[in-house]
Amino acid sequence: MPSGLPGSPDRSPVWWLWPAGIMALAAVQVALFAPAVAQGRSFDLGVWPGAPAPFDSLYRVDGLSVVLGVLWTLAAAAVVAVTWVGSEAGGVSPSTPFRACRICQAGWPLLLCGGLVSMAYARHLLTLYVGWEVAGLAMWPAFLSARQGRRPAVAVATVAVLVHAPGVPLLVLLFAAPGVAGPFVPPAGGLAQAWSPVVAAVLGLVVLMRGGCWPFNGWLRLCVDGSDGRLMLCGVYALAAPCLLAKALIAAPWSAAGIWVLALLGTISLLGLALHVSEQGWAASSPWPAGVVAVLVAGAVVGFGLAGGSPLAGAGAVWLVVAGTLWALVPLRVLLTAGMLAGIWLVSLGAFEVRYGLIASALLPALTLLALCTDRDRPGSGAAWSTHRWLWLAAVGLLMAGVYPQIVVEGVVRPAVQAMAGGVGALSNVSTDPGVGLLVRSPRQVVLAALPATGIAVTAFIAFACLYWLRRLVMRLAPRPYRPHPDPEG
Amino acid sequence: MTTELASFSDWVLAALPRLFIYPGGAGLVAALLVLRLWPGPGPGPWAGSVPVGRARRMAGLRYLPYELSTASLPALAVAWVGVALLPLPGAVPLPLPADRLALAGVFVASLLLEGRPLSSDPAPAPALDPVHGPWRAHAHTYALVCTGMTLAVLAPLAGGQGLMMTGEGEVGASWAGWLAAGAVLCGLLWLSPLAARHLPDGVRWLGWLGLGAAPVWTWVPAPLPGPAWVGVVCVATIGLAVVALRLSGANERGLPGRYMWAVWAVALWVLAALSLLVALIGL
Repeated sequence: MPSGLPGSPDRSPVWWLWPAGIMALAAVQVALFAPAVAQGRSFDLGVWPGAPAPFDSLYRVDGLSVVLGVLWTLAAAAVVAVTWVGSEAGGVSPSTPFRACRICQAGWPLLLCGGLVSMAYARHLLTLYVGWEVAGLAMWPAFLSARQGRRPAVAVATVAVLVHAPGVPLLVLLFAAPGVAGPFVPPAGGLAQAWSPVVAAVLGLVVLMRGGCWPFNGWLRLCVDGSDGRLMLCGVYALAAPCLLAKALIAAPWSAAGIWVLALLGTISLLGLALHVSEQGWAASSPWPAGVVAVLVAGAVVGFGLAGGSPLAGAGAVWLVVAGTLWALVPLRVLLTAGMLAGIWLVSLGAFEVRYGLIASALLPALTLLALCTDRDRPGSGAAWSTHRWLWLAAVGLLMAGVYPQIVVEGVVRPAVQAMAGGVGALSNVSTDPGVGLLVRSPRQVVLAALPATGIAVTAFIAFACLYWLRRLVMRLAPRPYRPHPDPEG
Repeated sequence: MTTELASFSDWVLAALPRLFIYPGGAGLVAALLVLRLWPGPGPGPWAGSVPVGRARRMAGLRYLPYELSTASLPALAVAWVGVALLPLPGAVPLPLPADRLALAGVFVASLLLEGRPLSSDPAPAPALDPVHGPWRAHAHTYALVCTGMTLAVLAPLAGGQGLMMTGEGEVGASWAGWLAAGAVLCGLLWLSPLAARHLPDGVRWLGWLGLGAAPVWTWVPAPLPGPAWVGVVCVATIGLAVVALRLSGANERGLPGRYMWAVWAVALWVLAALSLLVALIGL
């Protein structure tokens, strides 16, 4: 096995070129595309005049694609760095007889990053599908290493089915309904024809399967007792799945039946997962981050589904995907509510707007149950942050999103929602109070909801400081038997 | 920029009296002291012994320093802020009051900030130290009860337009609101023994009470000011919990029997589901 492969103890001294190169790609995206996107512009990339569709223009740059492209590039860099630095068993066994597996092992960082970026900027369903499968190839080494000890042919066949079978419905859709393969661009001058409920159902199912949601969470069992890098990889890959629905909304809205179908699929998955976990408790076979990621994906399916009726739900879904990807890198229970509350809040408000009150009431309890019932103390439950201190940058980003959601709404969520112009209306009823937090008003200017996150954070800091000094005072003044850590003998 | 700073300072200045006087601060300490009168074993090193006589009545107060020194301060601080922001009668109005989902999120955040409340690790779990043995056996139910409480406080919103508890489109004294209040009461009964010996759980207990009793806050008897009415409801709930504990055949450690705990947990979920159903059909 050549040096420098994941899992290789004699890794190359220039291993850091991989994550550094991927980080540079993120910087290039920001430098090239962010100024144009900030002005509300969008444009095509990879234009080949004269080529048949969809090859005439493969990629498109807009608010949504830049947000997802930069986010996934940074996440891929983190996954690559953790896997490499940790010398974890991320690679296939040296005895693997398949050349294709060795190629995947050698180039999985490239496959991961290239596939995800291709998905983010895809202009057509075919481009997105190809990018997705390429990103799936990056999962092979990790999954094959999890199935070491089995017959190589069986292991390869199992992994091939688990990783690539969920893409088959998309392939069928592409050939059976060629009209679906139309470009992911907003309709020029007028309303686009809504996606049929069947297409919505197929897209929703594909997202649930790829996201490891209930009842399709079987492939996540491969992550159980896995290394941190493998868990991070699975989390980032799973949270990329809802991008399919977001891309579809760029071109056209869902029909009323399509909204219903997507909301139903997401809710069933959410409630099914909650029941599954509540029955099995922390003995459930899914690892701690995977269960939460599945809830976030199901929540995003609901959010993107309801986005046709309410832009708030779309904004919440974008939030869940962005914050969830950051959380997958630092899966700390402490950061869960801080990072996700605004996303859940937005999806819930969107659900109220389209009269889906059940979803609005169920999302936060489902996340609470998952967070409490899955055991974060199992081995390999994503503790990479404790050895890779720089991952705290993701934690800080998540915390900032919780404390100051205004900047995320204005800088990330609003441009992404604007890009989904074909299927989602303008995000007009959310206003940001820069000093306090977020609020949503009805058309009659009645405040329907308020999330004073900044104010709450400041107040919590004051409360914490008071408690800290009170504790010190109590430790000095309290009678000896009632001081902390009293001597049981005494 | 001046306007932005003004809105920030206005909000914080309005929040400070809530944090230090009422409903947080002095009001919260008073409620916690009443909750401390719960009979039963002490926390940590005193978990194995049951005080008797006068010591039994004062036990909860004596253990406060120990509880404060061993509690998770971030969890306690966040729960305190949650209580301070509750829309209770008589509290200073906030320029931008937190809605019901935000407040439920604050209490969930406090729950998740706890050290290791539900670990299956055989090592001692500090957060469940007060009644370590019994609570270890019920750790899974604890998670279900906390989730049920979250569902109960959010269920009445299902039939509404927004998330606010007061003002237009509020969660008023509807049937769904009353059913949710019943569900929260069942959850509070279940949590009472732990809340009496574990500070963050005690503060969260009061927070769930404040959220769940929303229909009660809409009606304040004329002779009573708002804070007094809140105090009456709080003391009545604690008294009810003590009576329920006695009637349920508490053991010598002051804890209810196994089946009684199961009954309260099931009642919580049934009432929360009913509240959700009633809110959805718009009764």
